[in-house]
Amino acid sequence: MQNMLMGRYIPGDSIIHRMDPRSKLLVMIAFVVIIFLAHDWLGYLLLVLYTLAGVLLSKISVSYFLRGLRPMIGLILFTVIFQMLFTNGQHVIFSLWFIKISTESLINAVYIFFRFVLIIFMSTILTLTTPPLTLADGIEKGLGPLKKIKVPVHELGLMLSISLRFIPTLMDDTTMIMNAQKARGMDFGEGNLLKKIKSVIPILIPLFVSSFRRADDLAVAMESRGYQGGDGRTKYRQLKWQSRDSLLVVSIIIMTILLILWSKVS
Amino acid sequence: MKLMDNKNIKKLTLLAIWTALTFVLGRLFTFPIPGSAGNILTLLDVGIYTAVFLFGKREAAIIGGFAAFLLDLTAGFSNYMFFSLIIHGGQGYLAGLTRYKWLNFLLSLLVMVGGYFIVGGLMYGWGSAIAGLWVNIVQVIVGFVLAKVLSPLIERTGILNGFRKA
Repeated sequence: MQNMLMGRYIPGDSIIHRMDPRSKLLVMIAFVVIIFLAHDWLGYLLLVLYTLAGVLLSKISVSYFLRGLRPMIGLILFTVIFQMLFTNGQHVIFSLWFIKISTESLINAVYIFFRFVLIIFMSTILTLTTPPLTLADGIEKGLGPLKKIKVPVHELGLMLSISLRFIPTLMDDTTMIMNAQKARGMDFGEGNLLKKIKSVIPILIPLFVSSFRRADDLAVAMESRGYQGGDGRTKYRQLKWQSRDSLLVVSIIIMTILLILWSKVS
Repeated sequence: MKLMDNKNIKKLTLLAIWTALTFVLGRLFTFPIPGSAGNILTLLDVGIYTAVFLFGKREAAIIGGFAAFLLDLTAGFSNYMFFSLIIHGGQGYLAGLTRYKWLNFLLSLLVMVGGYFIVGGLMYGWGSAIAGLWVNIVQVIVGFVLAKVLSPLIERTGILNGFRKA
């Protein structure tokens, strides 16, 4: 968390690292949609292979991806067990009181498990190979056409970048304010949930006020340097759409066609 | 070329920092809740509701959407990030939609809790959706109540003079 500008980014020089954030974003969103086209093991196999290719091409150790699963483990287990117990099927293989486990429910649980893991892996590829700031640039560029309907795309992109820049600063501020209140005898993390939540108020007010001061200083600094947004503003980091990006987009289109064809055939 | 007038720059930086602040609230102020399968209660919603009370619905939508997006992006829930952008953005917008405060609150509660329920249910089956239900309800209520307490106090500091619902 020391360096929010980096997020979970792992520097590298693989082909996926060098791809444009727009193409990666597009493919990730498309992947989440087409995963619903898979209804049997062959469909899932295709998706697993596609994800695996991404993981290998990113040249990042698999342990980072497994670590990405960690915050979700509780939810995954809960969901898989839920699917197993509460899906109705015909071939019951185990039954105890209201619990019935059938072949169908077992298969269903496995599919859900894979859907979970694949979506997480796919989004992890994106966040491991793309620094948040580049991602913000990509989103700003990608939303460019919305300028036509008067959406302040440039301002929104700038806001995203500024907040990324200031998140670590505000985190430091929070620690400082907490310590200051502790020195005055405040107790945090004592008592029940209600008491715990009440005890954050003396932190939140100074935090809000100090953040607004920072915003004010920043505004003055920008103004005095003659900041102006919108058209005609040049950028330090330039995004370039290259042939490998088109290739990536083509690959997801092929995947979509394959999955649709397969679900029609079977 | 026309320079951006200073009110706009001020507002832009304020919203950006408020987004960062909301992120920090969602990241550092977390409370584990029993029986929720890994879901945690955070104070993210405090940032959204204070933005509604002190600014308005559009600002709250931007702050809520961006803060939740960045939170999911960096905390390892990137599979949820675009849904969070829409759900928390919608929550912020609906929280200031009408003149009736309780209706607004209910609408925003509904879109946040229902949004995650539907997304979770469609993506990973209804089991995961149920797991998050209870935490999300408590989180929205806690966020709303804390924001209700904080907003007048923040306003009284005078730091927002000249900004309010500009």
